[in-house]
Amino acid sequence: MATSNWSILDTKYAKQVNSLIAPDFTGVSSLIARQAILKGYCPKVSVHSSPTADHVARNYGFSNFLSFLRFFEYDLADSDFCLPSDKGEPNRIVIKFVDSLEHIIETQDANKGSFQGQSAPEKPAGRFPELYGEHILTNTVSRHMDRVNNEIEKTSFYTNARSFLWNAKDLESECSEVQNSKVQDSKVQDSKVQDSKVQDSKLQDSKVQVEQMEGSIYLSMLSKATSSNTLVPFEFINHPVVNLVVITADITIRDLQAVYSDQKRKYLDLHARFPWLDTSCMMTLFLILVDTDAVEQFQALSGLQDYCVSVLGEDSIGCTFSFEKASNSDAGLPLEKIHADSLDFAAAAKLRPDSMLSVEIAKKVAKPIHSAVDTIVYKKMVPFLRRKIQKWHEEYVVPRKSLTGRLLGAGRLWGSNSSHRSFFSFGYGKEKSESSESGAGDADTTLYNAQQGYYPSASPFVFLRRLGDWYFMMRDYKNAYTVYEMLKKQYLADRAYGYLSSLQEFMIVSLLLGASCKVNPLEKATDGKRVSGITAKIVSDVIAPFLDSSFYSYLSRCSLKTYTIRLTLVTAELFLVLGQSVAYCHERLFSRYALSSEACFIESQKLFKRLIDSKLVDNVCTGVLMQRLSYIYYCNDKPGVSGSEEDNQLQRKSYYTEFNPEKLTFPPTSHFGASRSRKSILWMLLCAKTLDPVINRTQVTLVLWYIENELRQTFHLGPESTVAWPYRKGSLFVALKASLE
Amino acid sequence: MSYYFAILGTNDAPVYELEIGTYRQSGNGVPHLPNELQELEQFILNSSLDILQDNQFKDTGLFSKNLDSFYGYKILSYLTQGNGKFLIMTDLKNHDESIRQFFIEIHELYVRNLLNPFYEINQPIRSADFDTRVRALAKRYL
Amino acid sequence: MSTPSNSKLMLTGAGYNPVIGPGSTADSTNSLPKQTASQRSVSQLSSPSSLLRLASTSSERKLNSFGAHASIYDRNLHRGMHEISLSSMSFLFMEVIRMSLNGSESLLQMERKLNNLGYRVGLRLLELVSLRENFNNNLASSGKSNTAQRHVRVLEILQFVKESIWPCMFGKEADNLEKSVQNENQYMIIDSDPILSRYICVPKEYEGLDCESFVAGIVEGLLDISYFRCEVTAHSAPLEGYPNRTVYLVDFDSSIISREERLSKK
Repeated sequence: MATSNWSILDTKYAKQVNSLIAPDFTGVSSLIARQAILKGYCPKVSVHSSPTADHVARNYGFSNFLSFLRFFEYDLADSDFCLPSDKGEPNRIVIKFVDSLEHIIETQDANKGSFQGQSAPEKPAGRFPELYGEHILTNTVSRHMDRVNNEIEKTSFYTNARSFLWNAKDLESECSEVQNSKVQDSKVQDSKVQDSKVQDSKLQDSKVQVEQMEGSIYLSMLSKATSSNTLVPFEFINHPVVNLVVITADITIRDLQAVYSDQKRKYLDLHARFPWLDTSCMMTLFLILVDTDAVEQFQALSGLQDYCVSVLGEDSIGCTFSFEKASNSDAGLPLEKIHADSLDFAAAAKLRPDSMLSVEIAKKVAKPIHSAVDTIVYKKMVPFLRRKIQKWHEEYVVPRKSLTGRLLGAGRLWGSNSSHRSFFSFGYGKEKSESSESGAGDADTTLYNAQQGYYPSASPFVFLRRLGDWYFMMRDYKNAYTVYEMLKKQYLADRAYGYLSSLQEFMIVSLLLGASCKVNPLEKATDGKRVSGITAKIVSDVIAPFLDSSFYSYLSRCSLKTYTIRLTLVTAELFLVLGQSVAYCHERLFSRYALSSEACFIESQKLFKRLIDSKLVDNVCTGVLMQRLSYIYYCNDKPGVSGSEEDNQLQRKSYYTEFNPEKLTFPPTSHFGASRSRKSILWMLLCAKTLDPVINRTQVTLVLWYIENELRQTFHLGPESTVAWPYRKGSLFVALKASLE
Repeated sequence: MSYYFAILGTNDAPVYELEIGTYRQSGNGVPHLPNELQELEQFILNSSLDILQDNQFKDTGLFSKNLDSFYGYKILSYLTQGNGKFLIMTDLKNHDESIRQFFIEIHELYVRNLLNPFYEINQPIRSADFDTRVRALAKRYL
Repeated sequence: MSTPSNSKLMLTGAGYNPVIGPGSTADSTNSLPKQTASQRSVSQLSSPSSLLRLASTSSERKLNSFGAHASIYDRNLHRGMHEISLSSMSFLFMEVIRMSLNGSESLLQMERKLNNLGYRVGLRLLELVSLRENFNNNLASSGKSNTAQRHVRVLEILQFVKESIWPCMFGKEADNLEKSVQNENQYMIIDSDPILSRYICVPKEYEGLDCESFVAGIVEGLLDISYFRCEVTAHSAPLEGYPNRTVYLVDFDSSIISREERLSKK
C-alpha cells in the first residue's frame, strides 16, 4: 500500500478527520496538520544506551537503541491529542526520543557554521543556532516530494489526469455535446461533468490515494519546520525532560555505577561550558532490558532496580523481551508492522535516505516495548512533569500573583527602577541565598548576561520560562500563557530579543492552540457552555503585534531564519485549524464575539502570503506553501453547501414543455459568493509556476489537472458559457501546459 | 503605471479587454505591465470575482474602489444591475474618482452596445468603434 | 467544438495591439467559423457579429470627426418620455403572434416561443432602464454624492419591475404585486389592462393561450440577468370590467429564496 508510509495520515485520528473533512487535492484537513505541530512541541526524552543495549537493537537491524525506540513513539499518536480528560488536562501525550544531551550539543557545536547562517559573531544576540541546517528543510521536502512523485506516477489516477489534460479540447466538446443532449431533456444540471469519468471506483480510490500523498508533502514540511533537536537558551521545548538510560540486565552493579557517574560528570561539564544549560531539571530513568532467554537476568533485574532506587536515587523500569530476532523459519509467530515517522526529521533527513521506513517485529517483542514506552510516558514522565510544574508554580508564580507579591511588584514602581532583582524579590529569596552560597556573584547568576546573550540557568526568568514551556507541553495553554505573560516585561527591559521573540511566539501559539483545542468538530456538540474563542480584539491587540515584532526580531535582530519560518507557518496553520474547527461546529457553541471561520481563514491567508513573500524558503517549499494557501481558499465555503438545493432545482417542473435555449447559465446560486474556488485556482497556477514544469513534472501535471478540473466546475460548462480565456495564447496556463508536452 | 481593463459578462468570461497605460504623469498610454502579470491578468481578475460575488447581494453600490489587490496592483470594480462587470487592475494610486467616472462612461457605452440587435449577450465585443471610444475615454480619464 | 475558434476570437478581443490600433484585428475575420445549423447555440453569434463589424467599420469613416450621429454609440440614452404609436406596435405584435403560431404544435409551444422572444428583450431592457433610473436619481440628488445602486433583494427588484420597467414599456405602473400564499417561491405581478394584448381576442379553440407570454419572457429575462433565476408565466385572470387582466407568475428558483434567507439573517 502506497499510503501506509505517511504516518500521521494513517492514524485512527486522521481517518476520523478525513471522514468528516474529506481531503482535497490541494491539501489535507488542518486538524491533521495540528497533530504534526503538536508532535513538534511534544516533550523530548533523551536516550543514552549502553553498548549492550545497542547490541540488542542491532540484532533487530537497527543501528542503535534510539532508532529502535523511535519506531515505537508513533503508536502514541494514534488518537486525538486534543481530547481533554475531565480535569482539563490531556489524556494522551506524545513524546519524541532524541539523542543523549551531550551528543546533541556536540553535533550542534560541530555544525555551528552551517547552523548559524550569516550572523555576525560580535552581535551577542545573534549567536543562537538555527533550528536546523540551512538546506535541510528544502532537502526534506524535495526528497519527500520525489518519493511521492514516484508513487503517484504509478497510479491509474495519474495516467488518467494526464490524458484528461492533453485531450482537454476533445473532452470539452464531448462535454458540451453531453450537455446539449441533456439540455434537450430539460435537465440543466451540468456541474457533474466529471462523474461519468470517475464512475470507475478504482479510479476514485486511486484519486483518494493521490490526494493523501499530496497532503503528506505539506505535512512533511510542517513537521520539519516545527521539529528540531537544537538546544537554545531561550526556550525549553527541545530540552529533554527525561534522560532515559538504557542498559541490559546483565550489567554489573559496578558498571551501572560507572555509567551513572559518567553521566553526571558529563552533565557537569556541559553545564560549565554552557551556563544556560541546566541538567538538574531532567529526570533520570533507567530502562533495564531483560532477555527472556536468559533466566538469570530475571533475578538480576530486581537487584538492579533496588540499587537504582536506594543508592542512586533514580527510578527504573524493566522490560522483558527476546534479544534475538526470531528467524524467518518461525513462521508461526504473529508479526506486527510498525512504521517510522517518515515525515520526521531523524527518519527522513538524518538517516540514510534508503533506510527502512517500516519493520516487522514479532508481536511478542513489540508488546513489552509498547508497554514500556507507555510506562515511561504515563507512569513516570507525566507525574514527574506535574510534580515539578506544581512546585515551580508555587515557588515562582503564586507569590507574584498573591496580594503581597503584587504589593511588592507595585513597590518597584516607586522604588529604584534600576534593580531587576526587586521585580521578583518576594519569590526569590531562597533562590538568591542558594546562589550566593555557591560562591558566584549574586547578580551573575540571575541577571541577563548581555555580553553572551543568555540568562544563567539559575535565573528565575529561566525557571519561569521552563515552567511555561512545561505547561505548554502538557497542553495547559491557559497557564502557559499566564506564565509567559509575566516574563514579557523583563525580557523587553533586558533587550533579550531572542528570548522575547520566542516568548511572544509561544504566547501566540498557546492562545491559538488553546482556542482550537476547545472546539473539536469530531466531538458531538454539547450544549450549554459557549466558547469565547479568539476574538477580533485578541487578534488585533495581541497576536498581530506580537507576530510582527517577533517576525522582525527573529529575522533582523537574531538572524534566525528557521525560527521565523516556524513562527509564521505555525501561526498560519493554527488560524486555519481554528477556522476549520469553527466551520464544522455548530454556531451556537461560540460567543458572539468569537472570530468567524472566514475571519480565521483571512488571517491564515495573510500569513501564508507573508511567508511566501518573505523569500525565506526556496521554490519547492514556496510551491508547497502556495498549494496550502490554495487549500485555505478551497475551504472557504465548506461545509454549508448542501447538495439538496441543487437537486431540488432538478426536480422542479417547468411550466413549459420546452426549454429556453437562450436561458442564461448561472453560477451556483445557493452558496453564491461564499466560494473562493477562483482564488484557489489562481494560487494553484502560481504554485505550478513556482514548482517549475521542467524540474517537477509530475507535480506540475497534477496541479494543472486540478486547475483544468476546477475551471470546468466553476464555469459550469454549458452551451453558452465556454471558457476560452484560460486557453488563450500567452496565458500562463497554456505556457505551462506547453512546457510539459 | 498601467491599467488592465476588462468587461466580463454574466457568465464571468471576458467580453472585452484592454491594456492601456496612463496618460497622467506624462504617460503616453503605453502599458507597462510586467510579463509575470500579463500572463496572469485574466486569472487575477477572475479570482477577484470571488470577492465581488461575495458582496454582490450584500452591498447595493455599483462601484467598489478596493475590491481586491494582488502584489501592489489594486483591483477596482463596477457591477451593473444586469451583471455586467467592469474590472480594472492598476498600480496607480489615488485615481479612484477618475476611474469611477471612467466606469460610468463605460456603462453607457456598454448599454448602447447591448441595444445593438446584432450583439448577443456574453459574446465578445468586437466592434472597432466600441474600442475606439473606450480608448478615447481612457485618454480622458485614466 | 466552439472553443478553439472562440479562443482565437477572444485572443483578438483581448486588446487591440495599442501600437497598431484597431486595424490589428482585421485578420480575425478569417477565423470566424462558418455557421451550421447544428451549431446554433454558440456559433450563430459569430455571423451576426461579423455583420456588426461591417456595420461598424462603415460607420467608422464618418466617425473620425466625432460629430454627427454616426453610430449607436452616439445615441442619447437619457431622453425623456418617448411615445410610439400603439397601433403600429399592435400591428407588429400581431405579426409576431402569427409568426409564432406558424409551425407551433401546441399552445404551450407557442407560448414558449413568445416567451423566448421576450426573454431577449428583457436581457437588454434591464440595463437601459436601470441606467436611466440611476441617472435620473443622480440628477435629482444635489451635490456630488452618487446614489446609483443595484437592487439586491427579491422585493426590491420586483418593485423595480412594477415601478420602473412597466412605465418604460407601457407608460404606467403595473397594478399590483402580490406574494403567493401557497408557495414562498412565487410572486405575482398583476396588470388589469395589459396594453399589448388590448386588441387581441383569443378564439375559443385557442383557449388558455395567453399572448402576454411575451411580456412574461421580458420579466424573466431581466430577472435572470440580475441573477434572480426564475421562470415567469402569464395567465389571464379576468375580473369584472377587466376582461384582459393578466397575472404574471414569477416562480423563483429555490436557491434564490435560500439566498434571501441567508442575507436577511445577517
